[in-house]
Amino acid sequence: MTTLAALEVQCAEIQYDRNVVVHDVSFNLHAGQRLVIAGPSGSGKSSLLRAIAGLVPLSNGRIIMRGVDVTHLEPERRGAVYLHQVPVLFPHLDVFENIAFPMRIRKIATPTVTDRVMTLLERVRMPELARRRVGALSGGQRHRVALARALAANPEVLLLDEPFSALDPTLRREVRADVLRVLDANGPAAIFVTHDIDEAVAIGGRLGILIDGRLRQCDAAAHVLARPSSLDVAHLLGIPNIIHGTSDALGDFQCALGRFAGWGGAGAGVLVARPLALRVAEIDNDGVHDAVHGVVVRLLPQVAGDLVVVRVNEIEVIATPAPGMYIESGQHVRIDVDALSVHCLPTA
Amino acid sequence: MLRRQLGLLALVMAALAPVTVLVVRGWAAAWPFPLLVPISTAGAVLPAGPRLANATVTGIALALAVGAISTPLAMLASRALARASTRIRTFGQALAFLPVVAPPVSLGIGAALVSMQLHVAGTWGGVLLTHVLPATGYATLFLTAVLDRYEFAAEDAARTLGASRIDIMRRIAIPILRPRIAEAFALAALVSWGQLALTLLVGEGAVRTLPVELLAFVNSGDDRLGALSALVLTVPPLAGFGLLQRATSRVRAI
Amino acid sequence: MLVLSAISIPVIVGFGYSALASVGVVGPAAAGFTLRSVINVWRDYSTWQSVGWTLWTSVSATFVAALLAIEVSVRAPRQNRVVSVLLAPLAVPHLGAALAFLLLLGQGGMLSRLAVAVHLTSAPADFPVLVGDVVGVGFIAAAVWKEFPFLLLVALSASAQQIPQSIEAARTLGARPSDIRQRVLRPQLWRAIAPAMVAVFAFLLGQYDMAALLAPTRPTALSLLTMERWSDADLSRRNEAHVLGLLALAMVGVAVWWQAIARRHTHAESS
Repeated sequence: MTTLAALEVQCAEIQYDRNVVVHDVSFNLHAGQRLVIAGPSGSGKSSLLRAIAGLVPLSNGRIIMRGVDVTHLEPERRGAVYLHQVPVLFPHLDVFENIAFPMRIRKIATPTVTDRVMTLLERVRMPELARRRVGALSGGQRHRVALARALAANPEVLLLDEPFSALDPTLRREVRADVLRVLDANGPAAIFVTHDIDEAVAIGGRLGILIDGRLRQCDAAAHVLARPSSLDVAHLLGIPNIIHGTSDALGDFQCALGRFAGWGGAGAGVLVARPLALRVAEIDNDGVHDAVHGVVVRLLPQVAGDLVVVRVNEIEVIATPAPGMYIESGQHVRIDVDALSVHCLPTA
Repeated sequence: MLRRQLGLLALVMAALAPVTVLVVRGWAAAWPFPLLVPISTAGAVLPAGPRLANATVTGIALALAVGAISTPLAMLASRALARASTRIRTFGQALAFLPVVAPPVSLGIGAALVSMQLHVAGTWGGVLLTHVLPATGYATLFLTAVLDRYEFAAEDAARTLGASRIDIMRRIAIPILRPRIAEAFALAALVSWGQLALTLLVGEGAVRTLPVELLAFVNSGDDRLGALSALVLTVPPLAGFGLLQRATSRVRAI
Repeated sequence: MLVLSAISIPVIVGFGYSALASVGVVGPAAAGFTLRSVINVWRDYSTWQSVGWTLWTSVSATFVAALLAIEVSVRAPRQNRVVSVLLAPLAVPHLGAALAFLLLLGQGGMLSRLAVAVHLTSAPADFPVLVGDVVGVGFIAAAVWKEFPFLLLVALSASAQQIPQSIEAARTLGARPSDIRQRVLRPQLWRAIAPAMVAVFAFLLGQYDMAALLAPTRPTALSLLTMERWSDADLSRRNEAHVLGLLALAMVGVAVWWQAIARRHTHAESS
């Protein structure tokens, strides 16, 4: 017997003043699963999240939680807790009472409340701050208290709207790691929304790409990165190498990086390749490789590892240098293409 | 829901009832007890009697003069505060706040004593100078809040282009802030318009403004003239309030 | 700073003169340094009656106005037209408000006429004394009418700015409307208007205009008692007026200091 999905969104449409901001979005999520919805500003991400929470109405479609249609149910009865971009804590309550809030309104007995709050404080590593006024908390601490309070409500789904964007980079990594650790330990289903692709990838789980209110692709993050479903998605993912070419009658794709057999399709297309799929190596004369040659234009220093801009025929590509290889501008190099890591898309 | 609507209705009636009573009493020439409605409304609705007219004119003249003196003073003070360090700003605002928060009678008896020493007690000038004190305080606090959102960078840019301080006031600050300066003027004038304690204490009964006459009318039993005085007293603040409401809703619409 | 000094120095000088007059050094009744006026004021029962009456009416009016402002903000924040009407008393000067309540609540006033119309009373004297009464009903009612709109403005502003996200967070945590009103809205609104309440309280402490028409003769408002002493034919009593004036100033000073603390506390907690 299959378990009911914690959340099922069916053909969701959202309108503001007769402008449709979310079109026909569908997906489902089971308990413990994570979905990251990434998209540019104004793509409808926050609207979708708020609609799931019940804070804005759907103009079409349904939202189902554990088999129950909650489309027209008030937010307080849905079981989907919404976390704002900047944590909204109740300033008149201390840390303990903020976390206890969902239990107090459910009239849970005080001993149980105390136990549960302290357990949650342990989970977010803040047990010593139980009686601290929330005005005295740091940014990271506020995020953790908001998370603990959300979990205290025993939600079916957690909705995190750009949860880390207000934090500086160091704190962002730390808070993100904390949040993911807490959610991993028997947490509810969670939907994250972000405009930062690197963050989307770091969060992991499934990745949904929302562009102009439409869900263009929704799959495991690795698969989306390796096989973007369209040029728009590839652009949004920041894949730098988008190389035009054509497929012939045999379905082989020809472009400046060579010939790639068995792609299927015909006519104009593009090859999308992440830098990792293109390896810069020294030119060798042993003839083993169907070599693509180019000239180094410049180095791109990166924290995670330098990249190289190489001119190949009339185009420039961004590639990864071979380990330990010395590279300088003007150097003639070879580019090895990992055919399994590149992807072909029709342009039409 | 019904209880809430009834509650709001009761509040609305409570808000309007006092004003309604003032209007009716000002209108009624004869309204004997226990009639609910006046039997006669004969007589002008407009300010009647030379006393009322004189008091209105005196009040208007005083208010305009106070506004004209207080506004430039407040402008200078608030500009200085806006660019000052936090500590000086806090101290300066406390100084501006002093005549605003001081009980009028406490302020008035001190001012009366000083005006006696300066031989301006019981004169229009003495009352004017006393009104300037709280009026400038209010106007300064108002303009300080306005200047919190003002771009001084535009003035700095003008200075690097060779503009003198006078050029900057004439060509940049005043044109940009004209509506706010007008509001500060109106605020200072209204502070003077409604003053009672200061006028009584420093004016020694010789300077007859509308609030002074209103008190005299009521103490002598003439409710009608008292109500008319109160209504005339309400006209300028009501006009200002209406303008403010319209300006606020325009801003909200943007 | 020069301008502010130009304004505040006369004020400070004025209070300085008052201080000197209160100990007999300056003024029409100056006879050299003496604490007689201060002692007279201290020993006079009417001084403490006035202080008590003034404190009682100021606290009551402030609290009732605040309570109303919060309830309206909690229950009807979006009804703009209603709110516009409720804000109208802001435009009426305090003296006008005082006269209006005299005409409304006086024994010959509108409510008294209504009481006769429904056969509850038959003469003005049958109607309870609500103006110029010891409890200060008329004064408190007029003060509430005047100060409620200001506190409502502050509460509505807090509602619009700070609170909507709190409400959203509470709703998705499962709070029903009654929980939100009780546990989220009211506590936050009380905190938001606390500094404004203290400002209203400080203002009412020194109020003269409404007291002139609505306060009783004994006990009376501190401002009226001060005026009484100031206008006394016995010039030596004028020095007592200065003592009372400084006493009122000190009371307001304490209230303002309290407001500064309250505001700092509120800012610290919400940052």
